[in-house]
Order: sequence, then C-alpha cells, then structure tokens
Amino acid sequence: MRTTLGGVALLLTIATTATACGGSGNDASPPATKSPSPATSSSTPTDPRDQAKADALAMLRRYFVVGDQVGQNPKTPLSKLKSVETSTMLAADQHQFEQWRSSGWKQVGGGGVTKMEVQTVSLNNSDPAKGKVPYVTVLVCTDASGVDVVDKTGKSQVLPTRPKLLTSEYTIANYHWTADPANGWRVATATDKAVGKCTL
Amino acid sequence: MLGTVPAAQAGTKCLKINPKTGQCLITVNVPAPTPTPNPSNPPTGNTGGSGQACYWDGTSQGISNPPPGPVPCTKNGAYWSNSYHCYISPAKPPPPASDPNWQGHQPGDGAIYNCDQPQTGLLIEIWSANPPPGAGQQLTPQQVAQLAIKKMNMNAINVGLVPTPTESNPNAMGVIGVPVWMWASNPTSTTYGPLTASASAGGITVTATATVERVEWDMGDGSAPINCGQGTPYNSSVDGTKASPDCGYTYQKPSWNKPKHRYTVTASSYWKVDWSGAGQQGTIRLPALVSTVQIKEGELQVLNNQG
Repeated sequence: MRTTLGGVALLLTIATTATACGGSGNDASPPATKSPSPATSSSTPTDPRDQAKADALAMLRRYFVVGDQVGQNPKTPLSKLKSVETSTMLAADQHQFEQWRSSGWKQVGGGGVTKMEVQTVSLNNSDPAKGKVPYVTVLVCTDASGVDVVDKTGKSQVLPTRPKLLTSEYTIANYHWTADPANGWRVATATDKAVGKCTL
Repeated sequence: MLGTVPAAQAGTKCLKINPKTGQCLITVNVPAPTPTPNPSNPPTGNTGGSGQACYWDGTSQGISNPPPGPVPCTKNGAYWSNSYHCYISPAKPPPPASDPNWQGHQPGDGAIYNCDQPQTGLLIEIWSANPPPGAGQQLTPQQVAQLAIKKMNMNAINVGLVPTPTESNPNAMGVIGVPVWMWASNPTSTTYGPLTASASAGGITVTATATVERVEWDMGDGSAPINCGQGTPYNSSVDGTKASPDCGYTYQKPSWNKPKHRYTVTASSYWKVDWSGAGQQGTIRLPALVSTVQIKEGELQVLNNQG
C-alpha cells in the first residue's frame, strides 16, 4: 500500500517529465511533444507561456496531494479543496467527498499519478467572467493499484469496474491572471482520454 | 446508496471517472429536455389533492427507485428543475474553453450549470443557452391535469323530463300533485362520463378521468335544488302517479304566474376529475355545465255540467 509521502515523492519525480512548450500569442498551442528539457521548480522561465506551464503543473501536483489528504482524513475541511481547484472540478470533488463523508467512507493509500505531459497553453484572458481565461491542459496517467476506499467497517467500496490505469486530461486555469499570474492557477475541469491504459 | 451509483445514467455521459473508486466524478448531460408549454385558459374550479410544483420523476431516465414524488424546491442555493430532474446552480466560475462541457460552444455562448441529482448521487454538468427554468416557473402536475381536461370536451346532460318540456311539445302540461321524473337522457361519455385523457408537459405525464359527480335540478318554483345521479328514465307503462325511484319532484303550485306561464327547469351537471402523475394524485371539481328546459304545470279541475 503506497503512503502519502510516497505519493508526494512520486509526484516530484513526475514533475521532471513535464515538457516545456514554447510559442507565442494568446491562442492554445498545438499538442506538445515530449522533450528532454524538463520544467522544474528550480528553473525560472522567462517566457510567460513557460512560466504558466510551470505554475500550472505545480498547482496540479498540489491538487493530487490535497485530494489525498481530504480523502484520507475526514476531518480535513472540504474548504481546503478551494486552494487547488475551482469551477466544475471543485463542484464535482466537493460533491463526491460530501457523499463519502456522509457514508463514512475514507481513502486508504494515495498517490497513483505516474506521468504528466503538458498538452496546450492558452493565455487568452479576454473575458474571465465568462470563462475566457488562461489555461493549461495536461495529460495525466494514474495507477489505482495503491489506492483503496473503505467504509466504516473497512470494507472496500471500490467499484469492480474501476480501471487500474487511466489517462485523463486536466485543465488548470487562472481566473486571476491579471492580479496574480503565478498563484492564481486552479484545476478547473478534467476529462478521461483513455480508460484501462496510459497513453503517455 | 453510494455503492450503487452507476457510472452514468441514461441520457448522460461520464466525462471523468474518479480513479480512486471507479465512480463517475464528472457527468455531462447532452440532450436538451423537453420544453414546457404554458397553459392557455386552463379550466377553473375547486381543486382537491396535491399539486406540488417541485417533483422527482426519473422514469424518463429509466430510474424507478426512488419512485416519483415531491421534492423540496431548493437545496443549498440551487433550485429544482422538473425538466432536468435535479437542483440547478451555475458553474462558478464558468469553466475555461477547453472544458468539453461546453459541447462545442465558446465561453459566453450560453452557460454551464451544475445539476445535482440527490436521488442518484450524480452531479451532472449541463450546457444551456438560457438558465433552465425553475420548478416555480413550470407547470405543476395539477396544471398538467388541466391540460388533459381541456381535451375532454365535456357537455351538459340532455335533459330527460316528464311532463314533456314545452321545447318538445308546446301544448304539453303537467298536473300539480303528479310526480315529475328527471333524468340524464341518452347519457354518453361526454355528457356523463367516464372520460379519460392524458397530457404531458415538463417531462411528466398526467392521466385524468372525469365523471359526473351529481346533477343538481332547480325546478324553477323557488324550492330547494334537488341533487340526483343519472336518474331513471320514465317509461310510459309506469303508473303516472308513481314517483321516480331516485330523482323526482312534485309541484304544489301551477306555473301560471311565471313568465310565459312556464317553470324554467335547470339541470346543472357537476364533473369530478381524478388525476394522477409524477407520483401525485388529486381531484379537480369543475364548474357546472347547465341545461335548461321549460314546462307547464296546471291544476286538474273537474267540471260539473249537471248543475
């Protein structure tokens, strides 16, 4: 069973696989190709797109860590989710964790993220109130082997149909780009791209 | 409850599985719901039974449990939509353009709403060009029943009366002290019931059955009205002095002091409509449908020509 710390360590390793993606203008860039040059927390990108990728990836890593904390400890306030997510992702996670807690469920184990890869970057901030905000999309592979969700008696509540491997695209958006371009990123939504396998 | 939640319900698609449980985390609703028409000039009258504005009915999604029934109209600031079968609240902030929930639309073109369906445990994301109407703006099952009533085309009864009304025979005249027979002549489904019709609106269907509950006879002489059922038709083989077994009257005064020397007899048929739908049922009582006829009543005098 993987521990939370193990999950964090794994995520830090994953950060080195995230690709840098250059480009100009405000439109979404084409899918990035895997690049050997990593975007790490120690680098200081000068291109705003590179900086956006780095900041968005950092927030995505935090998202998975906070998600584990909230799932593992029912006393962790759900409001903590707001520090890492927003919009439909926040509504969905809040809804699901409320159901977990009302049913007495909690997460055992954590981590599970195996790969990340930036897909697109858009710095279009033309109408934040309507959702036209800067965003970064990232493909993420997860492996559910080390995660279980149990009820009060310790019985697993994982569906038999749960896939071991999942490839999903996460969108990290910044609704406060003008005021806080570095720290305003939050995970806004996600969609599955491949069930049962990792395509990265 | 949670353990039975499917990945997605009929009419929805799972966009994002929770990798921890395998449950659907983000569900999207693609098809638009059936628009709800507004009733025009629905029938009026006393009503009975329930008519909750906000109700759950998952039968169109293939969900029979929980069964259809009323629900609270609000939940944590969200409002209930009968069309979407869930509590609606706008996604705040709106998701960015990359979110597939936009379904090909650009941010600003319509909006995305959270659709919280406690009956299934699902949170469904929907795109809508306009804010989905709240249940308060939609028809109640009772109002849908009134749409069904409009299809029924009910009529007043055909009056059956002895003595014969002057409309049929201007020379006919009854005799005071001799029983009058009243009945619904040649009753049909449209004059006496039962009549059944269904109507659908706002995602639910209501079936209504109408029958005449009573016929009120005003004999036109100032006496109290008489409540009857269908009544018994008079048969000429019956002794004319015999009273109707279930709907009759006997005049005590002639009609000479009335306009045209006639009594105006009014038969008011009162319809009761029982309806059911969306897990609710009730009764609507309609205003009377009225028929009138006129009769003459006179005294029988014996002339003595011997004297």
